[in-house]
Amino acid sequence: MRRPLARIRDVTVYLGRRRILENINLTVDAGEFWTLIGPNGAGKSTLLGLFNGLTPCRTGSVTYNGCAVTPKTARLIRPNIAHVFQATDIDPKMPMSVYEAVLAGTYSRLGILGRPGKRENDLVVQALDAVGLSSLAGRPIGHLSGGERQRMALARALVQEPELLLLDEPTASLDWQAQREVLNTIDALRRRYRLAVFLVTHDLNAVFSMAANVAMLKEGRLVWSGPVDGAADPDLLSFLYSVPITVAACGERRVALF
Amino acid sequence: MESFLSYEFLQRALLMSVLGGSVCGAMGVFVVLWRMSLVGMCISHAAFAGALIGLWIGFPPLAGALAASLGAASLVGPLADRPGFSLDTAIGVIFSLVMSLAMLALGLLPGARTEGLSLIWGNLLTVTSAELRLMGGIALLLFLFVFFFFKEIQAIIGQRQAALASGMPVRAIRYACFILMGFVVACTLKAIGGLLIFSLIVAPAAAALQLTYSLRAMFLLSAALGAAASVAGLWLSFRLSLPTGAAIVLIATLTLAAAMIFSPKKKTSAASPPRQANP
Repeated sequence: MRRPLARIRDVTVYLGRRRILENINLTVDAGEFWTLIGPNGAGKSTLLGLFNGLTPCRTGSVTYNGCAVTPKTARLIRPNIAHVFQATDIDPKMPMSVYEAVLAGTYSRLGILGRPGKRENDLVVQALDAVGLSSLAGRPIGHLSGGERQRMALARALVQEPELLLLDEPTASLDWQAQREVLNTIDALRRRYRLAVFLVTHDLNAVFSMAANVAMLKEGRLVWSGPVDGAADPDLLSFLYSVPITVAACGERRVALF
Repeated sequence: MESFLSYEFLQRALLMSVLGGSVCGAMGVFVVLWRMSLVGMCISHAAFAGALIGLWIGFPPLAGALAASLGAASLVGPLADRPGFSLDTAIGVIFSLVMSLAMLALGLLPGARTEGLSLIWGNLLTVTSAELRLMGGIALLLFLFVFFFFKEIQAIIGQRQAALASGMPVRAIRYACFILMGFVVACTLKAIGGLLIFSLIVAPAAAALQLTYSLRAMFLLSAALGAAASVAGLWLSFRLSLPTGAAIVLIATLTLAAAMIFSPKKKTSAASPPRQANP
């Protein structure tokens, strides 16, 4: 049975006088896998931030589990929603180990005076195991490769015990092997923990092979959303990216070519 | 050493060196890891301007320094959080403003301006018991802040965006840190000097960063290096009749240079073989 987890209704977002998002309507059910695609500057990251209140909206409404996401309620809702950002450079001298960085994912649920105990440490061990980083637990975070860093971010998100996982181009700037590893890890974690996932990506082939639902964003407007089968349409994709795109069959897989 | 400690004013100076040096050193961990050196510089110069303005209008310099540094600290955060307004811009505006106010107050000070000029270079030897007690209070406040909010500080230092997205009070911790820095700078201004205090905040923490991968150890090491540099600087200035603030900052900077040269992190990165992308 479908259970609506997050709803965005008639949301328009302005940055100064510039309209970033216009009249967005979207519902993510519990356990669903959504991907959001669109050209650079379409407003994908801004849309992602609506779910946990990082993007404030003045018109329309965002609800999570029936509760309105507002500046006042956002901090209470955020522990249920994990957000993984694009890989960024970390100072190699940063005094923090992979274990400590992942453990930090439990802190928002502990509150100000709470201290991590056995339960939190067990969660970290399990999460590191799930993303294949157990052997690097003691390594300083600045010494990880881009792919390892993203898997660490996934482990941090997991220990937060979220219902919804927001992923903002988690494979951007990674080599192909690292991209595959991160995407496979996401898929495995989603199935294992029954997470709802909302993935922003430019990797159309990952969309076709992993997602159940696709939303397409262009110039701040949601131009199409629905099941992935309908998204593998060359005309639709060509319109979205403003370049001719064809979709070819490669065995059982569909592959986008441009 | 016996003759050094036989004077009461030197005993107070020594205690102030230990307290001020360790507090500045610990505060520097935030400055170095959050890469907000410019924020620290802005607040320290605001304290300097406030103290001079206080002198000019007949207020105690400490009160002026506190008011100005806390004012700058509470302005920097909210200004930087305004959409389309970067931290660099906020600091640039406030820094120019406080420096012009400092120069204006210095120009308008009547008489020989000795007290005003001493705020530039600092003077540990004139520290009073009341100032020592205040410094002790600030040290306790900073210790309690780090003790109770260590996990928040750690989460924010490593992954600020992720910490914010998970519901941690990132903004509150950051603003509290700015305010604390305002207190620290204002209370150490008279002892170390407006132009030098910032070096004592940054150098020990930057040295500690070269030596450890543990945040706890970095706080302790940075506080210890700050205190050691202050005590060594005080002793050197006593023996060689040097300006105390300058001697302290020189030693802190030499400590940083030594830490950079002998950093085990440097050896690790130089000796490590090229890492495979996916072990």
